[in-house]
Amino acid sequence: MREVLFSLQGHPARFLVSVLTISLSLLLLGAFLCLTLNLKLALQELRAKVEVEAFLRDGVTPSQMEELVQRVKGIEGVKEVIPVTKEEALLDLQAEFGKEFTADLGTNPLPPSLRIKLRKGWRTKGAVQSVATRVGSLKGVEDVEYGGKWLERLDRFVFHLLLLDIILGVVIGLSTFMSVSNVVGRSFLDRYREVEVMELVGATRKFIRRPFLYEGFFQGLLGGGMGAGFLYLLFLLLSPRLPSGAMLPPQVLGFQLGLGLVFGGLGGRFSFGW
Amino acid sequence: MEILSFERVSYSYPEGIDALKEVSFGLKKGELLTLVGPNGSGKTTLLKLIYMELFPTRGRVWVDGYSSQKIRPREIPKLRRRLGIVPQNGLLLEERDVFENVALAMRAVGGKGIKGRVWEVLGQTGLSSRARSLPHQLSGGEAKRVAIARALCNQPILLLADEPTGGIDPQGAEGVLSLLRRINEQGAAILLATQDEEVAQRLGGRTLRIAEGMIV
Repeated sequence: MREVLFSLQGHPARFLVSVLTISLSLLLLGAFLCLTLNLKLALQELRAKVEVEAFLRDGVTPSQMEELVQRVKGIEGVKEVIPVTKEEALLDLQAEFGKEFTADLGTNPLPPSLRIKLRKGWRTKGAVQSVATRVGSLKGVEDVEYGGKWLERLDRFVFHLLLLDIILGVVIGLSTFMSVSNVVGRSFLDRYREVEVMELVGATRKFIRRPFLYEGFFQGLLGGGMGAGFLYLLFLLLSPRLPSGAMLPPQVLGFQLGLGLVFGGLGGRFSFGW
Repeated sequence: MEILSFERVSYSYPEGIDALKEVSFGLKKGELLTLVGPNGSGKTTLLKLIYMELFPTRGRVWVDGYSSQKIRPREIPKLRRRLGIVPQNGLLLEERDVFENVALAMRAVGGKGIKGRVWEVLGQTGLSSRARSLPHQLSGGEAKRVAIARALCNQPILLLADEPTGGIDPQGAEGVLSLLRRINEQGAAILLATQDEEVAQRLGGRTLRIAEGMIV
């Protein structure tokens, strides 16, 4: 630690520029990660609302409807089945849009239906589709609807965002590595005479490398810590304008610190080649 | 008992320059040996072969149980801890004071009781009053004595000194030589390389002459 402080005192500006570079890069990555995780959480909430609606043939009898309910309950992934008669469907519509909305209708055009809720883990696009297909093949079911399209779009969007995060993570990891190895490498050159003396008196390479490794760790940790601090401040500043429920997961801050530490250490370790 | 031996050692630099040719000699425990030769005769190369910064292209160097043919890279620091090396340029760190320059050598090998030992060698080399001076504040002779103090602090069995009197005034040179004689009297073997014949005569002990990479 004494040697690290010695180097820091020697070139504070160089050290500060490196730490700032790392912190700003990690702030960018943290912000993207935060956005991705928030979208993922929102998606999970939306998924919980995903259900399949099966419209039944007009004139289905209560006993046929009950039989259908039992058969749908037997399908894998189905959590709950709520039967909705023609009359209940009309009441629902009136509750939502007002009685006058249906006043001009002579007869009730709405079909009876089954609202099918799915188990956790069965709310992805593929799983919903498979349940919907099986329900649709049952005798007495005329049509099946589910929010397939928007689910698919949302899935794809989050996947692309995650991909972007990974690419950004690699690029920022490399830039942290290069920034640290450049700064530590220069401090190695500054201290070349010292290294020479240590080699002459019989210091092991491990011992000689240690201060440079610590310097890299220190820079990475400080850069990561500052990046996490900036992200936290940014979140506090923007939180009144963000949608309710938006959060800054502590894992993101931990990830920034960890990435700074790991790539800082690697930069320090490989700053002088051996 | 020999602590150092050169057996028909030759060394050629990668550029093809033959620095040493078939050199053979030995050094006993506690012995004082001066290697005299002009610039470029191979003295520094010979010293580097002893602390195994270089390895013979032919022949074998044997130092205190370590053979140049068998030593593993991780054993080299162990060998160097048995030696005290005073390089030609002194190699003092300009931004550290005398005390810190000497202490670094002990810290680098994880030495214990650093403070006490550093004050002891500074006393032994007559540098106690200069402990807080920076290298540029020292005379040439004092700077050489700091390099010797640094080489001494890990209690070497063999001290290698490359031109320890080079570039300093006669009074300073005499101080360095009398210090080396005292160190030798206390039991450490010394191999001193110089181009000055007079240094060998004033120091005493055995003299080897080297010219164009050969012992003559």
